Amino acid sequence: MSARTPSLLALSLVVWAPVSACAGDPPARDPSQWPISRVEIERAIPSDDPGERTYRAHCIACHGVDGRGAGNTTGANFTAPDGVLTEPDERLLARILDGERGAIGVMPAHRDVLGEERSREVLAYIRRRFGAGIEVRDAGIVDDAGDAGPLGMTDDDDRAVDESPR
Amino acid sequence: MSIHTGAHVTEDRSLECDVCIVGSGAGGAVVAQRLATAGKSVIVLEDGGYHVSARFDMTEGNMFPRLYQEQGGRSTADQSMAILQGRAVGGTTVVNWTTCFRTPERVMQHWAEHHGVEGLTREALVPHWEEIERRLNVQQMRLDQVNANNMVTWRGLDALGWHKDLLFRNVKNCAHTGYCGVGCVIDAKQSMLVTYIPEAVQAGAEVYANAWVERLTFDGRHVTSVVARVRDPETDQLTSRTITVRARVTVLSGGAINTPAILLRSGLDPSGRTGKRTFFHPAVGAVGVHAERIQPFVGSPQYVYSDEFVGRDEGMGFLLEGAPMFPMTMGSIATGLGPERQAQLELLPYSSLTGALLHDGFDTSDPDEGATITLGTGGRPQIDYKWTERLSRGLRDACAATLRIQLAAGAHQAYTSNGLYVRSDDEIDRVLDTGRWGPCEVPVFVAHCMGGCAMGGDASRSVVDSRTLRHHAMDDLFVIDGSVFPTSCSVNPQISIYGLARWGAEHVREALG
Repeated sequence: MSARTPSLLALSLVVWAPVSACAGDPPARDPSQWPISRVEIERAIPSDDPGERTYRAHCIACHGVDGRGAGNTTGANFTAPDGVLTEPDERLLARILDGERGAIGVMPAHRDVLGEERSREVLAYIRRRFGAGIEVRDAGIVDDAGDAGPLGMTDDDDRAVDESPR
Repeated sequence: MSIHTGAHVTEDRSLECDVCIVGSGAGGAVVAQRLATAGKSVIVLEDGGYHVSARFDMTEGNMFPRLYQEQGGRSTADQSMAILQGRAVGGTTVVNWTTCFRTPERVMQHWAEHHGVEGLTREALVPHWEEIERRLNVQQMRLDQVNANNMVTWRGLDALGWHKDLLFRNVKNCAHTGYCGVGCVIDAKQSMLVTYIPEAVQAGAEVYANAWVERLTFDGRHVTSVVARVRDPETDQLTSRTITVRARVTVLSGGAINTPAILLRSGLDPSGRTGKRTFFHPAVGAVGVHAERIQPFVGSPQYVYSDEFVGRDEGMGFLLEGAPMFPMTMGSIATGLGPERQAQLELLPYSSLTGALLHDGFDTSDPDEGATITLGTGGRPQIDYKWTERLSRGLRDACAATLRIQLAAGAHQAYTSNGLYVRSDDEIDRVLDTGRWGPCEVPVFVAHCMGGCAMGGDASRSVVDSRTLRHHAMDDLFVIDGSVFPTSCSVNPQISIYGLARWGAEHVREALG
């Protein structure tokens, strides 16, 4: 991650720490004396759309209320005509489920957090909400190594990423 | 006419001037501007570095070490209170949250009645406040500017029917970025760094950053010199180089904690009161967890406040204010480790904080309330706060009030800094009774340092003469900073200090003839 990555991203990553980590071995104490769970909070989000509830609970931290990712700085900008939403569903779904390290930062994996069905729901919501007028292109074109990737990655970015300590 | 850093001072220097001012914060900067523009030769010695907005990088990890005392880690000796106090050219005004209140009438009456303060009256200060508020563009926030975090506090106060109002802030073209506490990157905050210090320098004042004043030397009732040791601006370590200033008049404006420490290092404490009665507005609060995203790290830190519990009859009063939550700062003041902390931080974007500033210094039965400053290792100030039952009760009451605000605003859960969680109003008393409220049991956060060189009329009970801010035992030594307050001010203190300094500068000018 470049030194110029906004601190908000670092914060988002903290926020994104997998929920499962909270389930470790809490000390014996009155269950009421413990932070409320995200599941309970999600239930309280006032929306009938399960995709929207998921988006507001899990995506909005980086991608924003407006889906712009603060202009491609804290997350991918869904509204960009040449942005990630030009990619086909299966490729985006793979990224939601398994994550990806890109030029902006780390898109965390959500397989354990959301699972496949909820990931499909939230992707559909993102397309409805932010993808109006964006044309989905053929998977083969975007997948070519060396092209600027959907997050704006270039060959140089790839190399920098590969050499960075994990 | 310029600002020098430690790098510019390559050999010992001996300087002469009309006025030597120690410290460049809310007190020192105003005095420097007043005297320099009146044609006096002014030298300002500042322990902190000279940092400008171009070098503010908006990260807590980098900026706290540069802009705060003890790298942001200042605390009481028992670590029961974390003390955030600025240290830079411009002092705490560079990192404060821009909240502006005039000293309340009620507080000034208390000073007159119980501490023999005369001369410094509200009538005397009003013209100075008016001028400062104009210069620093102090303006009241509008409801449409309030961020989501402060709106929670506003909604909670409204639902409970408690007093609420919008705060005044010293900002110009504020973009509400929320980075006040690590230095304003767009110079919207009208701190001393961008207002009175440039004016003083333009009028001829010489400012030395990285100059730690070790001691004053005396001859009878006169200060003969101010001796500073120069720091390396890169490492912040003291070097062997010194700056010695011989001035007709010396003004100590190092702020509470630091000014008493200079007097103690110099051996000047005839009344035995130097460093006593230091006050902090011990602060606690409640975090509410909401369904909607609050992002308590976005937007200006503070917009709203409430007087609901100010000056109450029973126990310690407190001021309620909306307060921001930043990842590092929250990490350093909340309890809980491991999974609990992880869960709290996971909830950070959905969280909102209401804070309470407790009004210490008003227990008339306790002449030694608050903290005492003594000298610790290397002559550095050691801070010992006398924790009382009254404080414990006040902290508990303030937690109850802030929990109620968060829940009334719709929080699904609210918790205190000592890790007590509630889901509904009727649980609050029962849950708070299970908590412990002693030192190091409830984390307390301190951002306002006041007292330690109390002003008053009686030289055996105070350090400074309230009619002039002159040290009782000296003819040419003034103390002009927050250390002269006989109690806490009960509001965020910057305007109180600016007004005091502008008024006090008139007395320094008279002393110069």
